[in-house]
Amino acid sequence: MSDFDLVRELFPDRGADDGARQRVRAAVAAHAVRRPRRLTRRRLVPAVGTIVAAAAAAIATVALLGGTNATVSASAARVLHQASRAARNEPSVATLAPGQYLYTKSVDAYESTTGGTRRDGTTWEYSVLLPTTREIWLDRNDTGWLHETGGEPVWLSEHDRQTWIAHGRPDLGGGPSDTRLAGAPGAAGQMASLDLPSDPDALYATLKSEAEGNGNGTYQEMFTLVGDALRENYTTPAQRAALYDVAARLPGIELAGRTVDGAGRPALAVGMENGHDQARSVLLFDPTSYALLGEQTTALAGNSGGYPVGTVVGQATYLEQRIVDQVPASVVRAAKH
Amino acid sequence: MVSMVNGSSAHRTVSDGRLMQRSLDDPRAYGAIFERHFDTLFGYAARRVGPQLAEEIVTETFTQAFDRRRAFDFDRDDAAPWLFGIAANLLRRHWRTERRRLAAYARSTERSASHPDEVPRTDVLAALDTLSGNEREALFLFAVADLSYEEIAVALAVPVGTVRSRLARGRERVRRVVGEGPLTRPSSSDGKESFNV
Repeated sequence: MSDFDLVRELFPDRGADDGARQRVRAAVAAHAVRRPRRLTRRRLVPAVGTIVAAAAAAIATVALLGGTNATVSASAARVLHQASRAARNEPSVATLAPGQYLYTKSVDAYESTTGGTRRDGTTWEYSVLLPTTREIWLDRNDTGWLHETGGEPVWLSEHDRQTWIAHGRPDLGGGPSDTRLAGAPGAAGQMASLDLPSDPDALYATLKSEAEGNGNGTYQEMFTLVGDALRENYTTPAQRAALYDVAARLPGIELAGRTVDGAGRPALAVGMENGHDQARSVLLFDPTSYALLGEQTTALAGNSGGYPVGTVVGQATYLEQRIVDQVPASVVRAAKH
Repeated sequence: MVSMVNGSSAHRTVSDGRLMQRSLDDPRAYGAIFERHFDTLFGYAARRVGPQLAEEIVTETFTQAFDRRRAFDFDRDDAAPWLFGIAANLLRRHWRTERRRLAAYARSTERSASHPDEVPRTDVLAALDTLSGNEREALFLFAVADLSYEEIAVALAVPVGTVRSRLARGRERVRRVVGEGPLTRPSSSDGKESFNV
């Protein structure tokens, strides 16, 4: 028996588990449709709506923040502490009771890339932003429904558009979609944000523990986790305040300046660079009320797409969030189970 | 629910790298990655931490991989080492849980052991305790997951030489328990390779 046989036999074989396969498959599929984390690319469906069109126009015309104007983190911390105070002082909102849904409406636009290899071995690729209006209803068990309606594509460069034309203008997506969302197996069986501490120190420790070992770097991942918690999850005013306080303490956080969000609203941008992707991810705040307006990802120098610094490669614009008792019957009927 | 492309075909006509690249535009293509690698990853995780925790870890492995797939080298044919690397990072956090399971297993099997000269599993476990997390992960990927040096290097994002030294250290600790002997792959592997450290 070799040395390694001794190690190996400490771990007896387990049989296959079809139930586990099905549960994990469902959770991964739900994640793929539900969690548009920053810098991910999503397939969206084109269709025209007024809000979507406005968002697309904003993406197309706003020259976004340069990649080199970031100021010291103290400025970012001030904005985040203001946001924390604003969140903490919000009038008490209703609790998400069993049987109720947190409804969130946003307009998202994430980079979608299609590519291939020609017969001569050279490769081709085009990238496009496909804005979509996204409406999601989630209950405390992290289950619910998603309704998406796509918008007009926004080309990241003329080269991308010409590549698409050269390949016969393939359809960039289908029609509106409705999806039934199942909870993740192995998770606590409830919306993850419900368990987040509202004490900033405790929350910092929780997020750091979750982020450590992540390939993006601990603090970058912590910032992503803050964004994830704020996105489509139910949080109390105290939890939201704590999330901003945690973000204010992250090494690398910076005030990226003033911009406009996807709906054309003026905004202050606070975020972090992600050297791995040569991009900067920011949260956008109303300069007066410090309410969270959305999030944005912009290209930095050396980005893989060769886009000008400041080009928006992804953004989400929050339009509405409230607690509702019902999901529209049309969405439930149309949902793919 | 998003339906994912079924990739369980016995003949892989499309590389994992190509599927990963395609999934940037069409997330359904990621389904084939899932179908190709679920059994291997789940089997490995279940052997280490039991089926219940394995389900969580493999779910997290595939969701993290989905979020980070843009960083995958699309020229690679096989995503398994990369996926094992993500799983290894997650498993590393559960060493205390894993150790408790191993200790219980070692004690239960030793009570019924019929060979008095058999190396006590509790001693092997004690040897593993002396290793760092990185050394243990390399050892488990080699001895339990049957990955090659090169695949472990990809999984742990370290040079092959580092894999070699980590495995040498792991072997040295275990050898102190069992005495000197040739270093070979576990006997139940395909037997195509043997390694000298």
